[in-house]
Amino acid sequence: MKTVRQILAIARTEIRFGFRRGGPVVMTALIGLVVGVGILVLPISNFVLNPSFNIKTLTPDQVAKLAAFGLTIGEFKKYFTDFGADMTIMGAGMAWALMLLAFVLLPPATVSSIPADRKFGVGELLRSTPITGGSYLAGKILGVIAHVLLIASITLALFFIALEVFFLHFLQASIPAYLVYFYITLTLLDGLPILAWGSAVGVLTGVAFATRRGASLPGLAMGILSIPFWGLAFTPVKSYSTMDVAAYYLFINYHSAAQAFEAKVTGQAPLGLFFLPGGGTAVVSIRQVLWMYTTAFLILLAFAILARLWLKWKENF
Amino acid sequence: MITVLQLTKTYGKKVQALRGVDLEIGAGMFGLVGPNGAGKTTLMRILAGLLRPTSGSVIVLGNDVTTGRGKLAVKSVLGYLPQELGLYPDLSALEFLEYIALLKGVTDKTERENQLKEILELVGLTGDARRRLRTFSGGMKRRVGVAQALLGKPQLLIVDEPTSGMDPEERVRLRNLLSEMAGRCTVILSTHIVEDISQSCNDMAVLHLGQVLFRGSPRELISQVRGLVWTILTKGESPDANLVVISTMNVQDGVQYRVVGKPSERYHPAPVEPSLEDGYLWLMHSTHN
Repeated sequence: MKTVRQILAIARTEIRFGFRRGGPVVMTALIGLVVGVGILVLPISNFVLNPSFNIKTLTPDQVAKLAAFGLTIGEFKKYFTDFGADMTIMGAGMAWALMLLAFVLLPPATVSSIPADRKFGVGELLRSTPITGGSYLAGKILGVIAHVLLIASITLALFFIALEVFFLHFLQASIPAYLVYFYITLTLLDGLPILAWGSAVGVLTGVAFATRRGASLPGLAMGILSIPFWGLAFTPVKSYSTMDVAAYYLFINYHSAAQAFEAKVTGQAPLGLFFLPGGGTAVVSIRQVLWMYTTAFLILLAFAILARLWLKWKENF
Repeated sequence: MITVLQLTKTYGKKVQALRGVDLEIGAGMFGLVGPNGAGKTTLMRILAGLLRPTSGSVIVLGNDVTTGRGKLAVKSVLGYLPQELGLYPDLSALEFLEYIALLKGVTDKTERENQLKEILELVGLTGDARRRLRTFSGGMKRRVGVAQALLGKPQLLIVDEPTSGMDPEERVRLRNLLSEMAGRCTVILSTHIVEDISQSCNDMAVLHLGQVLFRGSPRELISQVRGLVWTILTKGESPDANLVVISTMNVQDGVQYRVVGKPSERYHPAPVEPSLEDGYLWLMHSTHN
């Protein structure tokens, strides 16, 4: 119990200190902004470039075409909202690669967490208290991750506001609940592990450096190295390597009524466009997703053990 | 009780900071004095479990600090003020002290609040507790350092150069505080300011080049120079090289020196009561020669 309280105290101070320091806040907000914009660019540009495609002003010709498919205007409005949702999903598929910014931006921002203690001279004071090096590392990682996730959730909320504005403006409807659910699960199941990885790799890399300046470049290098590693280790299927297992799992399990209608009308498998895995592509199971988390966790754990040994060897901590 | 036996510490392959130190430290206030580079900070850091010795044994309150478990046991009863104190500039004094209290295992909220209140009052920082540490003066930061060391009701207090950067009033206040603490726990005070030792310690050691030169009470060190401390007056010329000059003062008839040694009769030496500083400097002089 005492150890847990100590870890939480370190984490709380890290959050407090992190907010006042600003680096991880700015980087996380920047990643969220870039990804959010990336998701909305495709659907917004589509609507802006095709002004005739407007639910408010359907021409008699368009109404007649709908009738040929056996649709009333009311039914089409429902499908139209779903089309809008699908379009943002396609945007998300294209923008997924932007999440990799977390590997490049977060480690250099969080790498200073432990060197800062040394720089301010607090490290020696902390080492004189009855905490172990393991608790210290755990508290630091937990604090940095919590702090990054807090900012990420604020950015997600802002993204939902932007999404709602998009839906109200172009589709005259609110965001469908299943779309909110999709983005929340995408954030939790894929964004969160990537953010956690980027943050933790930064903190652990910082263990070996005395100054923030000295740690910055190695932090950046570790982040960049994480990209090919993540890409190679977590490629979902051989034929599809533009996102990781968790994202792929969520995208292939995304379904909307408009997709079924689109398939019926065009005879194409749904969501087979752009960067999204379409119908008929290989399926991954939740077990593979869990394996991805386990692998990422075990590698971070191994890294943390090395960092712990480093502290013990160099600082008798 | 602290027992140090044949303790050595070597940095790299060449720098020998401690060379076979033997020490026994009991309850009360213990002073460790020596010039810069004597090995005081190294010894303090080993006692606090922060540094691994190269060889020798260190038993602190029944715990071997060279083992992981012993180290943790010592830290759980330790209050430590390092020579180079660092604080988070963006936290307030209260936030910082609360953080250290939690790390020291003071998890009960009421107990923590009581301790914080009492200690802040003790170091005179109650009114400034909510100010960011970046706005504190050097002396105030030092007081925060003392406050954090007192948290958790330590049984062993290790303070390394605690009075550096403090004004005379603060120094006296801290010395008194440490003396008061010595009634409740073992206090080890490391300093190169001899006056700090003479005013507060009943037991001491002099460390030089990683070795213990003297071990005993301040009174015993003073007694080593009894009959050897004088004031002499010259017309301006320096005293003989075999004398240790403690102080120099320009007076109307020339220059008055306080010296330790055996001055020539031509100086018309007048005996004076020795101080700890005289004893310390004479000891260092004897070692050099």
